[in-house]
Amino acid sequence: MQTEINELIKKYVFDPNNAEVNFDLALYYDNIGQLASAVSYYLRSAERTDNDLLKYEGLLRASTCFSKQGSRNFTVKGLIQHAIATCPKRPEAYFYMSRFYEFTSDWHECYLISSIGLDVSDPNSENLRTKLDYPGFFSLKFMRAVSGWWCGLCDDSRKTFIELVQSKDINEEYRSKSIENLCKITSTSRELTNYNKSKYDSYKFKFPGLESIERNYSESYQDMFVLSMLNGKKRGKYLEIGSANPFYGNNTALLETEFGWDGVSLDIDEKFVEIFSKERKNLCLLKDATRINYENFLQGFGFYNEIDYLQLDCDPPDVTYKILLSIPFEQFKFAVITYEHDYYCDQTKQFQEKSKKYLESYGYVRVVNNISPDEWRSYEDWWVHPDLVDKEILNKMTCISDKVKKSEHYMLGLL
Amino acid sequence: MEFLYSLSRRSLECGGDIHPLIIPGNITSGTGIMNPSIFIDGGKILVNIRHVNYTFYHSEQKLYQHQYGPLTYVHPEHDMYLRTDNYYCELDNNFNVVRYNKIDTSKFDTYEPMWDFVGLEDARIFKWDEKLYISGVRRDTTTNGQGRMELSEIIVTDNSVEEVSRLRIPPPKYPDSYCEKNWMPVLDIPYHYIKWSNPTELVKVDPITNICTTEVLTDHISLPRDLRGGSQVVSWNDHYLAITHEVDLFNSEVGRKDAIYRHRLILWDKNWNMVKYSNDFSIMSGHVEFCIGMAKYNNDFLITFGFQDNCAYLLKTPEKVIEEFLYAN
Repeated sequence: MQTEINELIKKYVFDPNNAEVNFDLALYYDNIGQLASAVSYYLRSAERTDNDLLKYEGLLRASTCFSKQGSRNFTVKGLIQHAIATCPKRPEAYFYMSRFYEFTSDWHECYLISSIGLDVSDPNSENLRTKLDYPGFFSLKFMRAVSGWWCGLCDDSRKTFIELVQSKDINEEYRSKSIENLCKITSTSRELTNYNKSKYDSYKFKFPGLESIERNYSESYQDMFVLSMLNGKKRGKYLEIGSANPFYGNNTALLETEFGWDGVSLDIDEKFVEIFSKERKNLCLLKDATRINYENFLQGFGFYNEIDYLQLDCDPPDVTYKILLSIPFEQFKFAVITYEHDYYCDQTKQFQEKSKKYLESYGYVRVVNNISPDEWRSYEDWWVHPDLVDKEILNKMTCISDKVKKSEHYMLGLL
Repeated sequence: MEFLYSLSRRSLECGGDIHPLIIPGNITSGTGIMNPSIFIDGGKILVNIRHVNYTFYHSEQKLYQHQYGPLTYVHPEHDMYLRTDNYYCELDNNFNVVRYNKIDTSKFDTYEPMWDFVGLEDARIFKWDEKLYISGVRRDTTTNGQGRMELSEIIVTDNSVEEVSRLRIPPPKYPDSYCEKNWMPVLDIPYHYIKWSNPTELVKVDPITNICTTEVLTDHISLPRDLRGGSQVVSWNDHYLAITHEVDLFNSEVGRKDAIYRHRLILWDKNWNMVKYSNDFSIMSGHVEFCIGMAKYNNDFLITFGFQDNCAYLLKTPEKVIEEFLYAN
């Protein structure tokens, strides 16, 4: 280390007005945390070149040095402004500036700068000599969405976040941040997307009994999917793991109340179990679903080898997957499975694929993937066992693609 | 400025060397380390490095000025003080810092600073009467920033370095003078400083009575700028040698202050007659450089200096380069 910096300093001594040499020395100091030293040489570099890109990079890096030192906002801002003035068509400085305003909660300025950056800068600008703390052009869009929310442009903000989540260009960090933000800004107004009779005409697969359904209860049409795949089956059997509320957002309430199904529900939350027991006829047990011997359990409750519906919905995704692995698929076949992998908030992004491979290994067929209550939160895949469902229905309902599918659009045949 | 002769370049051309002096950034928060001073203590190479809580922003060519002008001290926005700490360092024979300790000044820092500049600034390190001292200017003891040279003895133990005495030196005349700084300790004459170089004024400080008296005052020599203090004064070839600095202070076209520093080698005879002075030179081609350390080391001089108030360096300069600079004119 010492040798390298000694050589850089010697180069500088013999050529002190060489901008590249100054930049290299600055970068070395920067990388070892000698930020003040780095600033001196970045400034010297920027002032001794005709190369706008080198000026720009030095100025932005100098701003970062001050930013790392903390509590030097005027200076950070000033250097970024110099960088923008030097290369107004490059996006990085707009991102730095908008992030600066984000830190200082100056939302209108943040919105202004990110909007200008999106409009005037070139997303395909040539690479700089070093990697800056700049994630990509999408980050300007992200900053506009963040600041837009605080400026009261809520619909625009949500729309932009959704675009970001669906974009192929965004990196995983920003996709996750966008999802997090969407969760925050949509949670207060989140409502279930229910089926009601007015949607009968556009319903994709009109199973027997559909005409008598006034409304359903699931968050994303899971109950309607089960009935569709089983052609409106009456008196079916289910195992519901992670039942939560007995009606609101529940996947078996419609099956029980309108179609006479029987089954067992499990939940780890005492309050849900208590209210379920009061409001529903079927059984709900207070259980840790990760600690059950399902073979004994199912046999004990008189389930036969074929069960009509299995719901797996326990947060977080690794827990649901762990439970999946403990289901005795050798002994029991499930006609329909709704599996919640929560891909949108799965930091590992592994559990959707793992569950797919696992269920396929037992002969299950994925009917639809990336189901979401809205247009951006891929959270469930829905499966059937081909031995237990009608092939024509399966063909009609199958919809596999990389796209996130809003459940209602899928069920109403709008995809 | 760029036309000025570079001492570091000439030193390297003649077999010298240059080394950065670095205290890890996680200790300093990456703010300025500057103006190191050096002293050879037997076999040990000792250095005092000034660490500040600010970063010097200098747009030398005025192209990317700070909001406050081309030359600004960027301190934390929540802390208006410009604070200095001193780090005692030991170097190995390759001039790498192998030990550093922040000098513990808590025994004497028992008051609230009364001025923006806090701490002992530009402290030269040296030994007098077998005691290790640092001596620099302090401006935090009055509400008007009056600067006085202070002489602090430091004790080095295995794990710490502590200031054990502090003497605030009164000026020999004019007790109300505003700022006394950059007095150059004469290494071979205990308790003597060159207070000013042109005219040369040698002062003596009595460490017991704390009385400061002028011992020598020579005639003024005609030079374009004042010669201000710099390194310690070292004995060399039956003479005394030091590096001084001079400053061109000026305002930019829009009235913002700026500065360029230049340096000179000064040679005195034993009676403090200035017998030689070099042309003004740059050390490493920066507009703001400052040398407060010089030591004889085998056939070389070790010269320590700050660059742009943000970096610290050690320059090994062959003796012949010193001669060349001194006798070029």
